[in-house]
Amino acid sequence: MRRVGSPKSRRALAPYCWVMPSVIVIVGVMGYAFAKGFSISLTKWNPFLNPTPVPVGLGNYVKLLSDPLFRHSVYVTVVFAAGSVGAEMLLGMAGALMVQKLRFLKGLVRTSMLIPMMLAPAIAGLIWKLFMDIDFGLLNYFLSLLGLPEIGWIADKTWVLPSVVLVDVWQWTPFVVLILLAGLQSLPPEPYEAAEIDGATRLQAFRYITLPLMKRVIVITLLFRTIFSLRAFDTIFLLARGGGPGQNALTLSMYLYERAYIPFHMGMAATASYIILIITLLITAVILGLTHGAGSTE
Amino acid sequence: MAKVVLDHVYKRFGNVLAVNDACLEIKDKEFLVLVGPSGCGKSTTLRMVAGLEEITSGNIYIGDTLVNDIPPKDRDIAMVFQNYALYPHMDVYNNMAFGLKLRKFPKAEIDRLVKQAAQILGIENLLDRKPKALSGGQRQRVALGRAIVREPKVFLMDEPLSNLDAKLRVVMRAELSKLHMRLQTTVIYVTHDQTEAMTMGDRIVVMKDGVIQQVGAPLDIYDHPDNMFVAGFIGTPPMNFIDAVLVKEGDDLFVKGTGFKLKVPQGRFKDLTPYIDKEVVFGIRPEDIIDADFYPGEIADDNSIVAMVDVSEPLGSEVILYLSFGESMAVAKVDPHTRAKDGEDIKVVFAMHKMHLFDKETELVIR
Repeated sequence: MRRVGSPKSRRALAPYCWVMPSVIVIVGVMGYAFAKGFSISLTKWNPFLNPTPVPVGLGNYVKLLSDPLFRHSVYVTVVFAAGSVGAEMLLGMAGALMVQKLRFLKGLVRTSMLIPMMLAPAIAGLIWKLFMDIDFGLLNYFLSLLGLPEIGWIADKTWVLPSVVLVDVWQWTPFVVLILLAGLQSLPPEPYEAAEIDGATRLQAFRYITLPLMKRVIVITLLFRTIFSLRAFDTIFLLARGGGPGQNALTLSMYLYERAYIPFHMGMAATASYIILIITLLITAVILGLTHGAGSTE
Repeated sequence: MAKVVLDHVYKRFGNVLAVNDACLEIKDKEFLVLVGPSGCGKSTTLRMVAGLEEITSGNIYIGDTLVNDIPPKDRDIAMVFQNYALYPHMDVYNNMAFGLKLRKFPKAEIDRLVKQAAQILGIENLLDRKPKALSGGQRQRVALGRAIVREPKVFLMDEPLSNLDAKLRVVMRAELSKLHMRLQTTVIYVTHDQTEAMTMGDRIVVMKDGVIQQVGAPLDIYDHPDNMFVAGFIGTPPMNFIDAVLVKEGDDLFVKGTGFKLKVPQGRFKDLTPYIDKEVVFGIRPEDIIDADFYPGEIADDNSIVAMVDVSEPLGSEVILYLSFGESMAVAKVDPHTRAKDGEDIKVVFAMHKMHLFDKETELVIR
């Protein structure tokens, strides 16, 4: 067979050839779903009542964006994501720093931290639902031991969102700890010794050495957690079905489920999905923009 | 500028005694080199002076201050690390300025000091680069710059040249010596490379297994090693050690082994009587075994032998010969114009006034 191009150009092309099949499959599958989803979002379609989709143009988008409950759910989602991801990052960094310093039982601590992540979200949701029960829950029992008044947790419209955030933090902080710990352990020890001699306190070493060197890992973790928390559904569904009291835990995915999926408004469901995607992309872009060039040592 | 004193310093890591009773006085403005094979405790000693390792027992003084419990930042030292330990996310300027910023120097002063150091080291054009964009030699200069901007009392250098290629190492070796002359600061320098030790140090400290073997000026240590370890460690190729017996014939003493019997020059040793007829180790440096063709003095049976050349290695300025005679072997460094050929015999002369004798049991030198 006659070979085309110089050996050099063939070598340069090779990597593209190797990844091509997977790219085609991924783009094909996703692209189809993407296009199909978008075309559904432009219709009014209830598979049971009117099996033929009726085109409505951007009507669904207009309808959604003008729905105060939808806007409320955007607000809830942003508060939920900011609260849970913020707490997870802070606690995760503190946890990672502590685990890194452990001399004994490091492996045991690391492994046992995985337990919340290994639990199926449904189980975690159910366990926490029991913990947060207003009458029989463990949390209120502990509060009573401390002489503090009982809290309604998921039954109270003030506490429902913080409660949901609490569970998310419980479930996902270990993940953040593990990723940040891996990052911390890959940092070179020498700059710390140099900084010690240069006169840096521990706090200064953290501020001027650890944080800048960890930026890349922190940004990736932040992105992961933000994207996932914007889509969080399962535990919230179990703890605050229908958005909880006052619909104060009505996140976007809950909204999508309750207002579009359950009543079989397929067009609205697709539209809501698209808007969630756009919001996620926007927030991701903001995070990437704010941390532009993060961790670069070029 | 200050002297540094180590007073019976010990360092233990678990069951391992890394530094065993180190006593040293490093004079003000001195360039002292700690040299020894890996694991000899030289880096640990340096890190104890820096304050990066705690002392198990003993005292360390910088100037007149006992620094045992003083943190590194307050010891007024600067350190250069083997792998440079630059801050990868900071540019060269900030790498050098970091210590000054932490010490709250005024901005203008920082700028002046950094630029001055950069100028001394010839890195003014690299100030805005990140370490990743620098070559090994440039990184080493930045690491040096970071140390000199602080104008510390003592410089500690932990194998600063060992990550550089051979050619650059030679250049930087000379530059470091020049820098020391210019800065007139006390330097403690750790290396495993005896050439660096010989060429740079005002004094050398040879260490082995955590124990200081000998302290002295480079040539002093080279010419008068205290024991077989120092004799073998300092010098390339290393000193030849040949098993021999000391025999007396008439008034003369000889070192005798298989394939050789060489006369010990009178007056070379104080008193060898206790060693007569005993086994000793005869030490002779390769350059003190001379091709007879080039020996200017008298060649006799009691200072020369005929040996077989196993291998010869021409290095241009000299030829290294691997010789065997009887059951003994030796390495000789001879004139490049030697006629020695692999597999052939050659007559070599031993410069016996430069011979060494070591006690076979204690490995200590016999003087």
